[in-house]
Amino acid sequence: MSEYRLEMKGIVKEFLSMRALDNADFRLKEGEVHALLGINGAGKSTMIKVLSGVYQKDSGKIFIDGRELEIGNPADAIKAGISTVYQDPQVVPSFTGYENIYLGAENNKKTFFSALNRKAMREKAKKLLEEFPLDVDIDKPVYLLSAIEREIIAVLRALSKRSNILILDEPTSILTEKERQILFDLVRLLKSKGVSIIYITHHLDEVSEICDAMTIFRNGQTVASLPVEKGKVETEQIAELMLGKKLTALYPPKAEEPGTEVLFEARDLNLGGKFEHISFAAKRGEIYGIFGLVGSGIDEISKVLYGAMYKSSGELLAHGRRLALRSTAQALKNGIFLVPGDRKAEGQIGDMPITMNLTIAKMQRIVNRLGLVRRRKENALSEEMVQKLSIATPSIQKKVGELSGGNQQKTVIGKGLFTEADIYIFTEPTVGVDVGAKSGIYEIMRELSKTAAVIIISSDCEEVFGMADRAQVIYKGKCTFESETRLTTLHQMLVHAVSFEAPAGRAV
Amino acid sequence: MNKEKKGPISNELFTLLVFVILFLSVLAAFSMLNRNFFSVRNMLNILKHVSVIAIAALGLTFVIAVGHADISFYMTSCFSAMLMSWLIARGLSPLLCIAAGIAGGLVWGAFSGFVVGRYKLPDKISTIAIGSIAFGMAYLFSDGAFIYTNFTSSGITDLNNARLFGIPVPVLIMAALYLAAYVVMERSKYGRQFYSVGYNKKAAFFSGIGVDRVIVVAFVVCSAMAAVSTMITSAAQGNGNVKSGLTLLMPCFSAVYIGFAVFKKPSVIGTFLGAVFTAMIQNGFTLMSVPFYYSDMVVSGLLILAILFSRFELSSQLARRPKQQKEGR
Repeated sequence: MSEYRLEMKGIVKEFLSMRALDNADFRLKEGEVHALLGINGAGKSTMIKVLSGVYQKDSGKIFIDGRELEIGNPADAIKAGISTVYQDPQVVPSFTGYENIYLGAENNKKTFFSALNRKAMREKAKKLLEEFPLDVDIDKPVYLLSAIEREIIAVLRALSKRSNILILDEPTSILTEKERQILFDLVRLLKSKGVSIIYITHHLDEVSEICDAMTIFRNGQTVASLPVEKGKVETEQIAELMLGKKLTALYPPKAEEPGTEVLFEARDLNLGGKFEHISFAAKRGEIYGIFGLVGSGIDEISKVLYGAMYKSSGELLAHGRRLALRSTAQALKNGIFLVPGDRKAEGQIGDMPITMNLTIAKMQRIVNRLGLVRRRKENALSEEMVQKLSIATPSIQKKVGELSGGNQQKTVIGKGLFTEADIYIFTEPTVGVDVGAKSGIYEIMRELSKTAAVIIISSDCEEVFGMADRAQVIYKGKCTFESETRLTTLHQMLVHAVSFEAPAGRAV
Repeated sequence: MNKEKKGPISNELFTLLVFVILFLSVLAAFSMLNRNFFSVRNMLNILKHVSVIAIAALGLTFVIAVGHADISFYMTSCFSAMLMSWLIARGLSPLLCIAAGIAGGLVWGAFSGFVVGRYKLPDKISTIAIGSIAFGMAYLFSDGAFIYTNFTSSGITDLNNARLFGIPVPVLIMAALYLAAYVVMERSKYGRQFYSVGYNKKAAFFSGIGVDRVIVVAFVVCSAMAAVSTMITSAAQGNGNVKSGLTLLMPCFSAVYIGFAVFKKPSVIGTFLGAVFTAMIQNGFTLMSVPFYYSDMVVSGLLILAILFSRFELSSQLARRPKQQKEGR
């Protein structure tokens, strides 16, 4: 018998030539609670999906109790004793607890007409409860149960399949504090029965409370596998392992001198019910930031600036000329480009290749007098843009929808650069983008700001604080604060985003 | 999100191959069942029939490309044909009558386009309603009676019967329209606009494209092409018949979606292949004296299959099952 219940060695999984898992390792002992840590996109969920048979690995080996095993589909995983309980337990609300436990395994006799034996099912469930004494009423329909009780039902379903490796995917995300304690008791009980648990979480305090070991993922690799000493977790050390680089290094240095020429100015913009009295001036050579929480009106502001929503009153000036924007096409003609907040819905055309996405906002640059596309020119310009923004792709003909989040966003930015605009508005530029690509996008924005006016509109306070040279804060559609970012603090900006209370400081 | 299979043959090529094999086997079956199928006369017949379906389907391709559906074109085309016939009966020159028919199509298309593109009403239901209005109005020209007056004397029948360099006029019209449409859709910036609106309206809007206008244009093109198609049918039949366009609906949708299934997007070439295939099947059934409703059933069945395959990668569907065991390595 091997020392380990489960061993995964050198697991590689590629998606479209991007490595989601790159020689990742993982070891799990019997009766161990093992935390999987890592930021979004680090590879932990891919690892779990390989283990539970949702994905097939490209190479690497999986051993269960020392014996090599091929997991080709979810059924193989269940046969090997591996079960997953997802964030939101999948139960049928109108069925009782025991019916849910044996969902899909109701009948051993596989004939269609054999009667559904509820009594036997209930007996089996009771026996299971004797083995694992958990506090749940299996006779009640599940919709009457609380979130933790549903989770228990889901765990029992896994146990009924004789699973001895249980994957809990962020189990506490929908639980209250009290329910969390019940879950921890459940985990301890399973552990005492010899069940091994893979525990996926973002909360380090949970790790220190119930986990015996942790494995940290970064960029598809295992960067560390450490034992957990009870009650002690080196938060800073783990954060550094997860992120790889210091947070401060994420943002490029700010502009050395204040911007000179005002390229884009808003004077007292109002949009009924969404925002009022919004004014600012964006200058060449610096980044102007607008920070507000989701629903504060910042998304609407960005759309009014781009002519995608008609402003009801106020003035917009670009290059000193008054604008009456009635369409996005007009905004583009005036050298304004918006990177929209919802990349998938508004930014990219996922089914079209990178080239067409890059050139679509200014096809005049690639067509001849008859309106026919000059493909050679288009490809050359696209290649150039892909190089310039270091978009990672094997070919410019690849569909944008198949790229990673960061490269998709870079493509949307590339579409803007292609229009040769000199006023850029970035709305939520790094949502769904991994850390590596994030700093790349920030560098592009900073570089861009040297020759153009850049406006960043975001609900991520750190991002606005880290990127903008001057910024204002929006709360319920009103500007509550405006300052040079080097003269203020992150804390002060946050405070103004959640209340009118704080005294309005105008340091510009 | 599965990894792209790097088989010995690409997905596009595989689907195309499947289509060609299917096409050839249907061709072989018909020629075996019927001696006359491969005769020169029948081939010309098929070509003429292809033109009628292909021209209307070409227009529909534009609407499908912008992500909508038009259920009015076959009914508005009846209006156009009756308008033309009525003007012929009044003694106007044939060219003028044809122009008027096309103009009628433009107006109905613009109507549908504005309702769907500008006012965002649901496309299928709105166009059924608008098409029905057009169809109703088509009856007004003659209270539903056939219009024969002046048909043979005015020369309008040349629209179908005349030949240029030995090629029937409908085929020439079809070729010209397809060539133009191919250049527009595949080579010009306007084609990009149609497709980008079809793939992602919002993203197209944020890229400065006048989405509403593009949709209106697509509907206008659709109705205009359908008008041309049904006017050719009227010329072929030698009379103005209110119902002459009614047979277009299923074949046109089949043609577009067969093309969609082969090339994974609504395309000019795809629609042409689909139209040839559909027309060939209809012609084959006609030669075998099978009642029309059988061929209707087959064409509609094809449409469902085509829609199904337009959603899936055929080759990966077939390849997945046996591959699964091996892939674990």
